[in-house]
Amino acid sequence: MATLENGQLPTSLEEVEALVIQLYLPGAPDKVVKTQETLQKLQRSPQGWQLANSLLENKVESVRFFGALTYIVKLNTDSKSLGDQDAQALLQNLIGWLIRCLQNGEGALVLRKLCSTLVAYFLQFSMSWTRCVRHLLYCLNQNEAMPYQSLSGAPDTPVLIDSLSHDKAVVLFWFAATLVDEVGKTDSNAIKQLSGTVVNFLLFLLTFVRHKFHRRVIPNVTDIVPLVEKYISSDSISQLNVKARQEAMRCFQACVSYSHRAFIDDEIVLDPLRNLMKSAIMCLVDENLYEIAVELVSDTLGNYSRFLHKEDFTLLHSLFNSTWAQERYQRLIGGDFDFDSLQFGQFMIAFGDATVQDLAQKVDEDPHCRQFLSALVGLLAAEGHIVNEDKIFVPALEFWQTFLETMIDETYSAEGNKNPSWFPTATTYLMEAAHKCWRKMQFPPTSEFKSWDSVDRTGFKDARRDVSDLIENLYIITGIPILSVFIDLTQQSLSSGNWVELEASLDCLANFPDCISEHSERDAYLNRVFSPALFDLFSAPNTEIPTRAMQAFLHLVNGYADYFATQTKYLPRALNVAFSAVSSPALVQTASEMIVQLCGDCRTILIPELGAFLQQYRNMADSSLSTRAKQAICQSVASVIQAIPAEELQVAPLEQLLYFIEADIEQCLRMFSAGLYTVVAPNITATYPANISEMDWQAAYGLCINALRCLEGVAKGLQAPMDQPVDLEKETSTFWVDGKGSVTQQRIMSMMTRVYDVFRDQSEVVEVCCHVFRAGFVERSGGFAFPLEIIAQFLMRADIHTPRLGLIISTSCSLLSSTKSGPRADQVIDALVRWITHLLQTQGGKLFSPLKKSTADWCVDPGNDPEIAQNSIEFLSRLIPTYLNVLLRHQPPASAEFLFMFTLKALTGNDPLPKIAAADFWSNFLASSNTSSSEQDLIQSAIQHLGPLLAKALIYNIGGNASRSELDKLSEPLRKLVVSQAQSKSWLDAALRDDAFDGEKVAIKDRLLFLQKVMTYEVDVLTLWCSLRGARGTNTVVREFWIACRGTNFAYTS
Amino acid sequence: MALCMNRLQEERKQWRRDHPFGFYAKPQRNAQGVLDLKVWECGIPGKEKTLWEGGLFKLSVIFPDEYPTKPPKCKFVPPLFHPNVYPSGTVCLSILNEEEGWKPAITIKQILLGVQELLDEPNPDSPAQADAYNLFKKDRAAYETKVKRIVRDNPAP
Repeated sequence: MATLENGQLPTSLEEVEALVIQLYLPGAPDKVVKTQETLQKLQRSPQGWQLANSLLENKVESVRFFGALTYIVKLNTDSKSLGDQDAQALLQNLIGWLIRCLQNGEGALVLRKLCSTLVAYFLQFSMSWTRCVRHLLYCLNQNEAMPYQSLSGAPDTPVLIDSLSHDKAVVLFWFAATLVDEVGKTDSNAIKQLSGTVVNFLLFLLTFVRHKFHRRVIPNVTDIVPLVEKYISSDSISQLNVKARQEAMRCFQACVSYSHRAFIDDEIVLDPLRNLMKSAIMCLVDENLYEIAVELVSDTLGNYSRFLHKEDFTLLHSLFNSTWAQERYQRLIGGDFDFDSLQFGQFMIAFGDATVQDLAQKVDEDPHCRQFLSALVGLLAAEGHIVNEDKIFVPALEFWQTFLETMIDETYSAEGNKNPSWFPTATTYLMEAAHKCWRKMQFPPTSEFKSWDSVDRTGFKDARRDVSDLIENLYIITGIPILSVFIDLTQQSLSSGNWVELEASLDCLANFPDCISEHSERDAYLNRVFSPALFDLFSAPNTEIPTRAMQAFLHLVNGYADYFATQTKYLPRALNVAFSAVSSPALVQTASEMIVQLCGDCRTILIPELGAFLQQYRNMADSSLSTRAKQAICQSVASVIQAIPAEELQVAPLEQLLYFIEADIEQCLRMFSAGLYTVVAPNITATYPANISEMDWQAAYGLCINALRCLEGVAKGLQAPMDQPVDLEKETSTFWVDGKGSVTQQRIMSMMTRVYDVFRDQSEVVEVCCHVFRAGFVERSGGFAFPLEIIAQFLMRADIHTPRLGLIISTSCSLLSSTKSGPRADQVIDALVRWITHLLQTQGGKLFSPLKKSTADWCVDPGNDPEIAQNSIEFLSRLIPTYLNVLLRHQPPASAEFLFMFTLKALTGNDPLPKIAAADFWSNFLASSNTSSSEQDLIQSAIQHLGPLLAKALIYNIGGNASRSELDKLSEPLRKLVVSQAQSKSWLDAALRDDAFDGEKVAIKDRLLFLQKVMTYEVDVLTLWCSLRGARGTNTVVREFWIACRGTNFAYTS
Repeated sequence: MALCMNRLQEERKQWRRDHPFGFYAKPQRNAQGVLDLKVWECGIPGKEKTLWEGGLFKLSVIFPDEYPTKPPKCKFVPPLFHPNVYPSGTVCLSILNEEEGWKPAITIKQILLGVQELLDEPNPDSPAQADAYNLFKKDRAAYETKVKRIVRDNPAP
């Protein structure tokens, strides 16, 4: 193998043979690849034709196969080198090989490949080999490669067919099937590899090419029909060889599929083929042909049912009534889900889908329809659990969805809101289907369910979801009476104590909240659902309620929460069930949601129950209830407290609730021994101090989180409901700030401060504290609507080592937006600005010194901590509308300059979020220069000073350094700059000419053209008041310039 | 418009015939109970063997009149904690961007699988919300804890 290793080509036929043999032997992948490369080179060489012929003479089958393959390669790559005569000679040679191989008893491998070779030939030379099928038939019949010209003298096709042997017939079927397959494939393969706009053009070309082929292929399809007919028609069933009949069927299948393609492309209908369908249908009952026939008929029904004649449908109807079909059907619903059995089910469904209109509309008049619909209902009740065993349920359910949708469509098109007369009967089948689904959706015993693999488990739940869809859609047809079906089933399973059935019934009932929420009879129906018996069962002491059933119950109650707000009779019972479920890990989520939802919706009604709730919480507070559960209970109790109209009366229950939470905090702090604080510095960053064991620390920390989450729950619960009107005229109450409520506020703040001081290095602690504050920001007054300075003081405890510092800063952003301005506020906000400046200056551990004069030294890199940078810049942005004076008068002036420089630095940095925040900041700041703000002098002086730098930063980005998605954001300050500043043109001009501008791809002339466009668009805006056009204009110009600066190599990756 | 509706009908058929496990997708029903083919309600399960496993996240897919020439908009309801999901819930994904990877041949199935893929493989180059993005970049452990919490709060049934 020296030749191969040196990368040279083999020089003798023997060497090639050896390589081919080696190629098909198992071996190391890299060696195989190398061998293949060498052989491909040979195949593509000018000697390829000769090589192919020689290889076909070989004794070894794989070498002969490779010979045929080489012909295909040559035909596809080099057919243009052949003249007309060469082509004719090649054809005769290839047919000669086919005949010789047949005579030598060649196996299917090589024979099939030779058929493919001839197809490859046809695809290249279809003009000169128009009747390829008949020619091949003639040659095979003659056992000789006859010249194509002699075809005119050949006997008629039926004569040729009569005397053709089975073996030869098989070869002809292979050829014809490959021919139609290939013609259908050429285009779609080619298209797949392309994308973009080229596709449309190529599609057009390919369609044209394909249409040309259709016209050449069709006569050949017609030629194969009589041969296929000979083998599949019922007259000759017994005498003919099975193999040939199967191949005839496969060939027919390929032709039908092709004729669908021809119909789509050119509306060509192949009637001779259509006429064979009847015979093909009859092949279903032949065991040897069943699998091919059933696939063919199902596919045709599914994709191209218009191919079938009316008589074919009648034939299929009667076939379904035959004993043959009955036996197959029984096998299937008896639990036989083997491939062929399942195929039968799919076949029924395909027939149902194809005739669904008829089945529905003729249900009253045609007993066949009723019979068939019953059978399809029956498919929903096969033996075995769905998905895991029963594989026909899901497809059958899809049929019923289609059936239902057909009816729904009918209701929209019905005139005068009157449904068609066949509706009642059709509906009975759907109701029956729903009942079967109810049975099948029931869970198997838990142990069995757990033993399934995850795919089956998910599949089972998916199928249940599909059932829910069907049932929900059924409501459109039946209206509210559908509930009765499941109410009856619920009552039935209640009395039989069957949990699995009950779970399914409740799950079905949970589908209708949206449908019936406005219905006048809703409560009458729901009164029957939420019966005393149902509550008795789910609140019965000492009964082990299966988790799934409880889940379904909670889910149901949750869905109809608004019912309980009007029908308060059962509200306490429902809540009691939820309170008892909340301790179960599997149910805590649903139960918590339900408690929050019910108490939130029914808060006013529940005021009298408040004492009981607090008691309930007290009983549970010491238990091992999860934090999630406690938080939910706190939130729900707090929402009831919120409903008490007089603020004074809210204090006592709130204090009581806080008392429980405080107990956790006290215990948490006790775990830290008294001496601890003397040992450990207040700003510790260690995970836990040395003199406390990890276990104690964990326990203490758990209590801390628990308490904070509960506080968060209280804060959320105390929020006024969104749907209540706000009286803007009314004075904001100061009860909680200056009045009696202030004690409560102080208490809450002290609770938070105490745990925060101990656990300030824990990110979750910081996070929850921020959530608590945010919950209060939206309130006009209340226990959590703290005064500005109190919150600011708390937030400013954070330093550069505090985790989630970004969140703290973003909380101070929200604080700004929720605060009313005033002299007192200015002071606090100035303190916040100082604090943020300090944070930015100490980033990265080094304290920035504002004493240094050089501009370069001003630059603390926003990339040190992009999160802090982004939030801080957003904070500065939020100052602009109300507190711009604080920013502009910030002292010392060097510190204010630092802040502005920091935003410019962020604008040219690599981090997207600080950059976007800085773009926003500048666009807000520039906009403020157009207002009648009393600070105009200061604003203008800042812009005069910083304008050139801003222009430079923007041009740096737009000149190719920003990423594409940032361009729109960056266009904003550019536009504002141009509109608001007369000098902007010279600043931008200087930036575009600056040495730092890396725009070697764009000449100065084009840069200035860009500037001119930007200026023009904006002038348009000013003169025409056509801001939309201006906005779009600048963005487009910016985008184009950016692309130009990136260079032409830039392309989108997708 | 007709093209949009035909395509959506076909998408619906295809989805019903074949959809990935654990997902759901169906047109929404409006107040009168009429199907609105242009707004789909979908569910995306977290991928197995990822942080997101066990969760199911609700997504609204809203199709414009120009669909499939223009891509649909995908929006998590409620908004999801994820670096590439805007605070409004809108998903930022190249295949959903008309100027980037959108092609009319992309099916709903591919979109939903794409969004599922995105869950565990955020794209740090196009941040859409600061919260998740910063945590993802800065404090991976806290990010993971938070994701686990979200999965717990949105369990697959």
